[in-house]
Amino acid sequence: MTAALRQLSAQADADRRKRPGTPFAERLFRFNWLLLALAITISGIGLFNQYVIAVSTSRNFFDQQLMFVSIGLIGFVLTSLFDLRWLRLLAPLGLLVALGLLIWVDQYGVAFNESQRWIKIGSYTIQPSEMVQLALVIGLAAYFDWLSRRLTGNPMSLLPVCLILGAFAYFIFTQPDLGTTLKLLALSALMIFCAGVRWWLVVLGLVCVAAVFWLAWTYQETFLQPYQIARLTCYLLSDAEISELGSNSPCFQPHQARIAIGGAGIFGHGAMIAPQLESLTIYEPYNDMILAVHAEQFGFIGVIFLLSLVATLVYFGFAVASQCRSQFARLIALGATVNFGLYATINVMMVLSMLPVVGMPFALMSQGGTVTVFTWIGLGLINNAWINRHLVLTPHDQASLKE
Amino acid sequence: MAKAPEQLINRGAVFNRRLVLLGGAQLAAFGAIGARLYGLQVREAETLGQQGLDVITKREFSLPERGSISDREGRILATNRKTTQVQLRLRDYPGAPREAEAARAGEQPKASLRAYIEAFGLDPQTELRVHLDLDLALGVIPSTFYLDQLSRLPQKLQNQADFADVAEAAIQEGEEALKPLKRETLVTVVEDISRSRSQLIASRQADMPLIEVSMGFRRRYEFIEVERFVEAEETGEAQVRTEELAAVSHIVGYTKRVFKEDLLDDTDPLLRLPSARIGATGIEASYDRTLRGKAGYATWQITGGGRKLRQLDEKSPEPGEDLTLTIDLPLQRTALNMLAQYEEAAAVVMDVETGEILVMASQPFFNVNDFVPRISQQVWNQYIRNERKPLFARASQGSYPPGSTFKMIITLAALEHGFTPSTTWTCSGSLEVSGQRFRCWKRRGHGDMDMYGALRESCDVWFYHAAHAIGIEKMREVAARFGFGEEVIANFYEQAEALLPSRQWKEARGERWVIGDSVQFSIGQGFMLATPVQLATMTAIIANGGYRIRPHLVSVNGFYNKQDLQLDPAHLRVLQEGMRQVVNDDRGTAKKSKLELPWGPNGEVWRMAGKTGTAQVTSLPPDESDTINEDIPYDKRDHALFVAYAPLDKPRYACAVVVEHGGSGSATAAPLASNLLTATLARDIGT
Repeated sequence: MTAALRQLSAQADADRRKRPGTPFAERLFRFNWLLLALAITISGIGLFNQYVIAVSTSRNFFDQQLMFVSIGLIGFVLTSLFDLRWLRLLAPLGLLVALGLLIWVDQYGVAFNESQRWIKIGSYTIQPSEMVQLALVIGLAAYFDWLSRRLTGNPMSLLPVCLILGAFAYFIFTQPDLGTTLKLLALSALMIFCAGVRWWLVVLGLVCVAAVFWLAWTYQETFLQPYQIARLTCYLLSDAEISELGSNSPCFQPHQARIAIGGAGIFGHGAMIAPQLESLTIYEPYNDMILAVHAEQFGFIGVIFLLSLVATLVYFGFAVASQCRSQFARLIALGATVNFGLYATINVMMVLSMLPVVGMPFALMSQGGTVTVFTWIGLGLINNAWINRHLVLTPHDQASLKE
Repeated sequence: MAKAPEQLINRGAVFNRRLVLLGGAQLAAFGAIGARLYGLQVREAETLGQQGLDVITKREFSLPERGSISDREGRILATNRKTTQVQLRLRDYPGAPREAEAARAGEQPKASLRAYIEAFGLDPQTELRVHLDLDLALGVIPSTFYLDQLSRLPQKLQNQADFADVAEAAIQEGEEALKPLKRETLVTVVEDISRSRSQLIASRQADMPLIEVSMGFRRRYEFIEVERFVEAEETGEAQVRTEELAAVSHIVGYTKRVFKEDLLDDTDPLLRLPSARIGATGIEASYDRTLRGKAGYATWQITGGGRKLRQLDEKSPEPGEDLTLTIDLPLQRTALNMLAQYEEAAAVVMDVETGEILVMASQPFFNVNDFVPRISQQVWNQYIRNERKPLFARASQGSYPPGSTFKMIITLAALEHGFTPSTTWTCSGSLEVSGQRFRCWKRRGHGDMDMYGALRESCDVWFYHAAHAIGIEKMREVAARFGFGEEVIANFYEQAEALLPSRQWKEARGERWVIGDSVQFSIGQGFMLATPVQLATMTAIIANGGYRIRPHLVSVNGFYNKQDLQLDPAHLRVLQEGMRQVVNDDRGTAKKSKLELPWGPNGEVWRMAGKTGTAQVTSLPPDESDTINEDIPYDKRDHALFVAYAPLDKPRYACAVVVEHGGSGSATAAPLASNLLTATLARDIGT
């Protein structure tokens, strides 16, 4: 172990001499302040809504969430300042730690609602699957960075990726957490796609995904739980039928969210006024359904404004990725951006009944310690990539630049 | 392996190209979201908003004032006092089942409620009631915690009747109570709060959204003062004590809080108001729907937090109708004061032409104000454990053997059977009918008796002969025409049918009707039972010339129900003459109670006609029935009865008096009736 570390350190020293990193003092000045401002704005809107919820109902998560955002900001700064080259070297370790955590959860984790997803530390619980996603982003970035340019197109080069992904997906799927599993796979797929896998493989992958969905739907009795089928078939029911089914139906919450959002109209009821929230028709407004709270107050205009901020943040992330010289930096920027974008997109589509209900928080808006902190750390990764966008880490990067 | 240069990938370029595709996909997703938002918040906004309103509109009902009750001259008997009450609004929301579940498991005390209770500094008794109300409302069985608390409370507190009711009801509900929850429940915390306190709450209303201060009404019944003789506990000496008692308690009745049973066949939203009251007895119960009025309401669009956004519609409550009774309050008081010297007695005075009941007095009586707002267990126990049953409305509910007052019916049956006034039988003191000896009350016998004589001197043997000849069917049919065996008072719950026996009735009990039963029936004994009101009705029909009137307590404004019984006027004249002789002939049984009032418009004298009755209570030997009853234990003494009408020539009022265990009708009941009719007639001429 000591020998391995010494070797790692020696390699880092060699790297540093060959390709110097960004000086530490310079990193602070190179912060992407716009990115930070955007994220703080979205987080602020989230906190405001948590405050409204705390005032309107007895569910007060404001103080807690404020603390999480603070921790997240510290995480953001630390991640931003972390040496990119070290990050690349530590990536395999991160994957190992992630796998270890997943196995730990599988064996000793704490269960809520019949789902074993949490590790208990003192009075807090953390959800390792959030951390796993960032570890995967860094790991995949490091792997595709390490691959020679020639091997990038080789299908065989995907084999180790598939093994790691398979292991991660297995443990998260058996928690069970279908939503996170699918998100993890989608995130990885998008990273692999952008890393430059061949088109025929992309098509093959899409065909496989379609086949899996088709199979699952055709043999739904075998593959899907009754509640999952019920969630998937909500769109078949009219509003009246859903009202008839009552609050135990899985379609009831999306229905209430539609009422809350639609009823707000173009301009909303006004800040701090959320009648549906107050009537407690939405069970956990502070969590996945927080968009409904925002929409009730600020209407169509307010939601569009919020989503514009989210979209801007996402495209900022993409822009950062495209500006990077090193494959590693651009892939972690991409991965962290996609991670955040998937959260927001899936959550919003779910709240608007465009997708079936899966547990998916609105990162930066929803209450939740692990999601908040790791989303901020993800943003830190984007910022880190931005700070180190001029760095060239490998000969491959150098070669790409010359062409 | 040859390294073809084209296999090398420019990773940056590929990345950027594919990033553009990804960005495009993200753009498409945002576009779809935008379109969906436009659809929901712009195009469907109105329908969805309306659906949202459905969830959170609330109709608040408001309690109308209960109608007042007054006597025939407009003197108020029952009215209302305005009160301020404090209610706790308990909201039900989708999370409530979970909380109810927790409460059921005894896990989680109702934290918010607890805070309110502490803020109000409620006494433990009220707190417990609130808890129990809450449990009822949420459909939760009172957890052992509360019941445990209940058992630990001092006895004095436990005795709250209302309280015990709620607890008992809650337990009875049991599993069955775990039904879908109501949306919102109001629990009355304080029923009658002081003005300063209510102002304090009103000023802090904003801090306490669950608290509502609303106007309520409390029933108030008018008092009378009654002097009664009571035995001092220490010395045993009799002393006079003045008590305040409500004169019309038995008639007007009282109200109670609404229980679940009351809601079974009554969907009136008014009853679901927390401070609603429903008539429990008497006129309050019989005319409840008239008196209670219609609930007003206001429909509000509210937030779930209870904040009112705007009012959608409104209707003010319609107060209940005021009722005017036919009762004459001063006369009722007079009657009660007359009866107060006896342990148990009843008197009825009725207008013979209209059926209006002017007096319906029962002794002993109770103070209806004890029931406002609710009776304490202590007082209730006093009433219930009292052997004289003060809550029992004897005048309309008491069933007594009518005794000799029933003889008019038999006389009429005899006339209709073909006997004439001169039909004479010899009374030798007893008569043997199919092997059984039936005695006359006069052991020496009356000698030869015609029909008038039989009525006048109340000769039992004459009626034994008649009964034997006529048969039970005919006698019963005549009695039924006069209203025996049915509830005679129009729309009044507190009355009994009493019992008009028949051959079929006895056979249904698995026994055979024997001739002895008919013989007993002819003197109003045996199975025959009648209420004082029925006896007064019978007398009124005889007096008014054979019209079956409908006795009533609530003024009908001239719409009297009157049915001609098609009786032979000659027959009626015989009955009237017989009753005249009972009082006005020197041989009459009630000659001592003769009435001679020179109050006629042209100076003519008003007299009274009547009939005595002495009803055996136990099967004491008949030969004792005319002895003075002083030596016999109280509850074995005979009932004294008297029915009468006056004035003789132009009858206006009929009267029936029953004094339980009062001895003979002539000695006890007749003077009472005489005095009561005097008072009634005096009322007419204004003296």
